[in-house]
Amino acid sequence: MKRRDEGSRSERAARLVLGAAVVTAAALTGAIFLYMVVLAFPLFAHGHVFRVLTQDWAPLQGRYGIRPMIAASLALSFGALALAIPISLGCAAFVTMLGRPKPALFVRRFVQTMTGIPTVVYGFVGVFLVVPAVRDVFQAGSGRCLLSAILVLALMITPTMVLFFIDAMESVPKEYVLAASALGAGPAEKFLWIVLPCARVGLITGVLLAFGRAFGDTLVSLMLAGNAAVFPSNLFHSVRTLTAHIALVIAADFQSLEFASIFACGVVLYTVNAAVALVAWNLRSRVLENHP
Amino acid sequence: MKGKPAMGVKIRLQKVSFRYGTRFVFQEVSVEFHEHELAVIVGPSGQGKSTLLMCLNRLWEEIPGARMEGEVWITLDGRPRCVSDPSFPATTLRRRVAMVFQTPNPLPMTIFNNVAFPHKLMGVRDRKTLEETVRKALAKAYLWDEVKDRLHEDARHLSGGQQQRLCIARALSLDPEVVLLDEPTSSLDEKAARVIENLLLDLKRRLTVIVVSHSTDQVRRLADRVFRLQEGRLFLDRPLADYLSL
Amino acid sequence: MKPSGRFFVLKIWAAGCALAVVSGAGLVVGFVIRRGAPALRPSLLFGAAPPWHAVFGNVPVFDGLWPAVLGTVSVVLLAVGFAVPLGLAAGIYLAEFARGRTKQMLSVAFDILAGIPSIVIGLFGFSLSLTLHRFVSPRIGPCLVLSAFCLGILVLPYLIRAVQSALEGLPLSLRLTALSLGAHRVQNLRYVLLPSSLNAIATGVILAIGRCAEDTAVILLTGAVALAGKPRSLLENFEALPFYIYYVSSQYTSAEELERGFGAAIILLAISLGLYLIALSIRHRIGRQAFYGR
Repeated sequence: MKRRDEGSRSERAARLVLGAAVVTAAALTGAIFLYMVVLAFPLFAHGHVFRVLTQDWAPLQGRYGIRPMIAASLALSFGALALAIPISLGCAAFVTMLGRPKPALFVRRFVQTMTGIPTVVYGFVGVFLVVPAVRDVFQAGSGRCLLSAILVLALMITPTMVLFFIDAMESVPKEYVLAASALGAGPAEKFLWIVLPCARVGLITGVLLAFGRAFGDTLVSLMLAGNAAVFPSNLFHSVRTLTAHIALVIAADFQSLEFASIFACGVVLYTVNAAVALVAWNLRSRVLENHP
Repeated sequence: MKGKPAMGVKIRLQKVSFRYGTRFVFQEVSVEFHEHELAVIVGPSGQGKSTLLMCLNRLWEEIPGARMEGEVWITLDGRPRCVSDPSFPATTLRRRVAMVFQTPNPLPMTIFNNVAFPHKLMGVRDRKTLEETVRKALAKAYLWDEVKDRLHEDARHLSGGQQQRLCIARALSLDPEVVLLDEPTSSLDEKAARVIENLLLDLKRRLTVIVVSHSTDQVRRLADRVFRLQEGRLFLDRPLADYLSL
Repeated sequence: MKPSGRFFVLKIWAAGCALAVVSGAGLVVGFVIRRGAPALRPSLLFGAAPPWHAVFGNVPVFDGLWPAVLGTVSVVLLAVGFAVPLGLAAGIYLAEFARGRTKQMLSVAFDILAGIPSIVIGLFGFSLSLTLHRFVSPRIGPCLVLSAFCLGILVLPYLIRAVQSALEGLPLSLRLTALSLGAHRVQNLRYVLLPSSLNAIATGVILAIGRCAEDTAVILLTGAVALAGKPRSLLENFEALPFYIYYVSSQYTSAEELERGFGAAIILLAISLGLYLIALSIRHRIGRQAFYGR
């Protein structure tokens, strides 16, 4: 009897302590969102949510809309994805199926290591290598523009996407690939008709997560995109993303509406990334259901 | 077969059903196992033999989604106890009803610590008591002579058969009344398997032994009674004589 | 078998993509090394001050990275010190005690936490300091401990996931062994499960350290500045390597300063990649051990 008490007593204590930790951690998730909403409130109350999201940024004329920043973030993310997806797919295909063993292993290890390169280093190289190059090659403006940011961001999100794609492709049950081989399919056919369709969900999840990462990136756009708060109309124009806006306006007067606008950006960023996380979670749990 | 003393009932399952989620593994199984018998359970793979064993030491509770209905009664220290009742402490039950798994699972520790582990769990600290307990357990499992000079080596360095005997020693060190063995020799070569079979025949003199097995030969060598678990039902198999004539 | 035309084109495309990725990263690293290599002297770290006295004495360092290095080390240690115990506890809870709906909801919450952009976490920290500034003490503002707290939040979900998957990845037979011998849950964790997961958890911690060391957006808003000297107090501003690099990119005033920026980039690269490679090698050793045991 004494043993049993000790066992369930220690389990109860453990549940309490560990449970408290878990609740604290989970509460942080909600607390962050709460802070964003509460501190953006003056702006939302003043200008109504819809107007804040669709107006342009002209604080001197009393307009605190973040539409240009939302558009810039989307343009940058989609642009980077447009470049990075095909390249990441190709690279992943090379590593898993279409490349020779030794180079494939090298590329795999290389990409794994690449994920350790700090964002700020990408930004730094962007400033001193990509920006001058864009300026000279395209003869348009200072070189700090949407295009420069897209180029560097695409390179930055590629390694994680490649690793994700590789994982998705290697999770395709070997039996299917073997069956295809037995029917005479070569690597290309196997890749196109078996691996890609079966890995569909994993690939989509990888793209989603890369989008989230691109949408939430600060340093690359802050250092390379120019930071003019205007609606992006041209690859060579300077733009300002939601994330850069936060970093730039943080020094403004606390009481001003200008300051509150960064929390509106925070709300948008949080919501978009939370949505991405939810969809990805949903996709992943559906995969687990189908492959017990 | 020989003249045995009057055999009491050691274990009684009463209308025991088991399911994972909505999928039933077996339904309304009622059976009695006798004291000092070596019962063997046979049947097609994947139909719940391991699960049935886990009902006897309530290890199924650690598996998410598992549900058991019905009652399990085991005579411990001379008194029949309803061990499936949540008020009966599972930790106590598992010390009286020991289990040996199909693949040897030595803990990542020395040989000595492996066998001493269950006692350390109970708070036994005295070095000399532990040494004595370990020696007795290893001797009961026919392993003492082979490892007495290397008690402080990592247990994973032993051969498969030695590891399995180590696991048996570990289980025996608590002086259980029942031992459950889930295909204990299926991962071993024939010579190692024979050693363990002799060990089991020896053990049933002091304990009740229940073995899950896939090998007809093994059944023939070991069993007092044979049970078959098939399609969710447990029943006494063909008379032992049939096995002898195979 | 004659390779079909389609096979050839696909193969070329895949190889080309792999080449693009490798050369892109190679370009970045190579550029940094080429421009920063000339700066790799003791004066990169210590400026005009004598190294020994700068480290162990009280000689202040101007024009050197030493304060930033110290700042980064301090904030990372604090952040990890905060996040590891919390992450360990939460991860254990998720793996061992949470079931069903609760477990699902917690998993979602942590997935969302993991997806929050770092600048938003920095913004949260900044606003937290505003609140504390108003309601608790005017002395509180963006500072070392605030940055550490926010970096902790940044890496917390990754630590939780690492601990959780380490525990859940243990083979069922190992998880059941101690229990079958009469151990209760806490004993099982203490004597078997946690010791067996140590490698995987260590990998997670090392990756978290790397993530904290390289982050810029969080510390940008919560206390990192360009000039603060050695980190003196928890409630003051501090310097950090990634912030220095960012700062130099827009505010450099001389060729030497720019070169120092590249030197700092090399150091940061070395730290991040070094930590990453250590984590990778531990992960490979786990693989071998898993094979050896079974």
